[in-house]
Amino acid sequence: MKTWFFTEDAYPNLPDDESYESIRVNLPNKHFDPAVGADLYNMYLDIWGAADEIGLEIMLNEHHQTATCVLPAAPIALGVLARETKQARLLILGNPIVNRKQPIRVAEEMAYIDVLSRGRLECGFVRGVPYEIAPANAYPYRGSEKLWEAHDLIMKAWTHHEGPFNFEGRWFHARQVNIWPRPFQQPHPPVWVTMGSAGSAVQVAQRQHIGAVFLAGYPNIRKVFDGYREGYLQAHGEEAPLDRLAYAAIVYVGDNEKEAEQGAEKLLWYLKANKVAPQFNNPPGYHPPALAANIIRGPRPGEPDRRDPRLETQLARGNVFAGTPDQVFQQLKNFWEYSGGFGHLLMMGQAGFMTYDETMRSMTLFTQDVYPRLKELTASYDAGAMKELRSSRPDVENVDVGLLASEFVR
Amino acid sequence: MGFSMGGWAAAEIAAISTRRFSKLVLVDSVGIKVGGPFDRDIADVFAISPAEHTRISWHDPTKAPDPNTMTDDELQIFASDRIAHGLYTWEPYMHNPKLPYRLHRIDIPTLLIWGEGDGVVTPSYGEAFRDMIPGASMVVIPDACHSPHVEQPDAFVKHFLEFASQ
Repeated sequence: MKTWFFTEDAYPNLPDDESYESIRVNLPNKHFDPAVGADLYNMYLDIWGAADEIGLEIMLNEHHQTATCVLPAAPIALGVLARETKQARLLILGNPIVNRKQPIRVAEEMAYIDVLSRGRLECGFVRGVPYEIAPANAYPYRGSEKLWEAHDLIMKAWTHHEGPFNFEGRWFHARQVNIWPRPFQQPHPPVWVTMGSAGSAVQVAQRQHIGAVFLAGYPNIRKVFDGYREGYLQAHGEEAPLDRLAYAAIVYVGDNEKEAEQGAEKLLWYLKANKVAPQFNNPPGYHPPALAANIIRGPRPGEPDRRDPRLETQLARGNVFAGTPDQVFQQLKNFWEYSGGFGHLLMMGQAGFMTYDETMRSMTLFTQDVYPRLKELTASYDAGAMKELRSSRPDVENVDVGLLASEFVR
Repeated sequence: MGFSMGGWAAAEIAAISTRRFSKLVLVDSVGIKVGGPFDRDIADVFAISPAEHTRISWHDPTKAPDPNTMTDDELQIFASDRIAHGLYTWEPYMHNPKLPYRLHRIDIPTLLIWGEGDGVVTPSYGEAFRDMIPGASMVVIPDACHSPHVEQPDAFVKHFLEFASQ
């Protein structure tokens, strides 16, 4: 299993959240102190650099107008890392190509990074979360169609080498497309796309791209991964390789349970701080009508709050893996088997106020005591054996974290 | 007669041809931009909270549509309408930049009816709209916002009948 270190580049030094409506979109940037920001940006780049040195791969992303992620142009940071790192694969997950009005510009930026890093780019494309709609001023209706159209244009821009072509799509138009440079990797860098449902997974599988799922947890992971696997089998006549699936979760490894608990609580800032005003969570056209109606209504009485940011809840859901190295391995193994297997772990290992040292302690423990076992686990993957194992375990909403030896959440 | 977005549609149609119309009524209509690029002529209803949306749209907030009292079907229609609303009006936001250059063609008697407290498009926006249509007049209804026909139906009908019978 490849593990990708990920931080969102948060700016956590905020006033009391009662004093503002939303951390996304409309929080005034007077709360951003550029001197603090400079320290943070350098720390984040240092952490990614250290991740490279200890053998982890690198993942970054971008958001806009939010203190949860003050990296509004991930290709720029990726350009820095293309020079400062030596070994790591460089994953951007991803380029918000539904909201960016010039897919060709994205193709050019990515080709540059791929060439500069001598072929270490892994290029993700995403639709983007609902709160990105207002900052991008991109009407979100038919976002999935726009994603695939922009994707098709970028793929052709990367792989067509015989002079210009024109593109006249439903959503994007381009004239005399002939990008310089072309990518280093041939025919093109590996492509990643995020998936949130079985339906969206099928479209990723048909193109044989890597499908990444964020914090789906026990309640949803099987649905999405199964969608991918079935779509892949139908389209290509063979089982989806393990390296086509990725899962993103929050991970903290501590020397002992107390340290792990403290670390995990710090990472949960990511969920706790995500105060979003309803108008940015549900822009018209982003969600299909039934889902949009549900969001307008709000949770029904007695409905479980899936965003509940308490550690025990998130551990039980499979969104957080935290504990001693043994515990984290057991938790990951359990989830990996339950899910039917995946080849990439996208590890959010820094968030909120977590320092460089705290982050590195966890990452070092991970690479020393967890990572080798995860690699063995995935090396032993056998599609037939996995199917049997999987079908012997019923669908669940949560796991009993007590069974995973996490004393501190009992 | 058109209300809000419907008023925009009515103004567009009348600016093309008034051959089949005798009179035109625009009620709290959107459709034009009157200020500069940094002026917020029309409230950004997609960027304000539901509570704020109610506050600027209704003098009496109890008259606002309430998702909590809707059936699932009604709520889904409400959500679908909102999607269409965004689709029609996203960019340029709730207006046609060319419409102000065409409103001078409207050559039938035109009345603008406005809710005094409308915060989506204010009465001063309505006055700018009126001034672009030759000979148009405007009445402002107190204790009403974006839907004066709902909040003050008697006053609304009185103004309408006076205009229609002239």
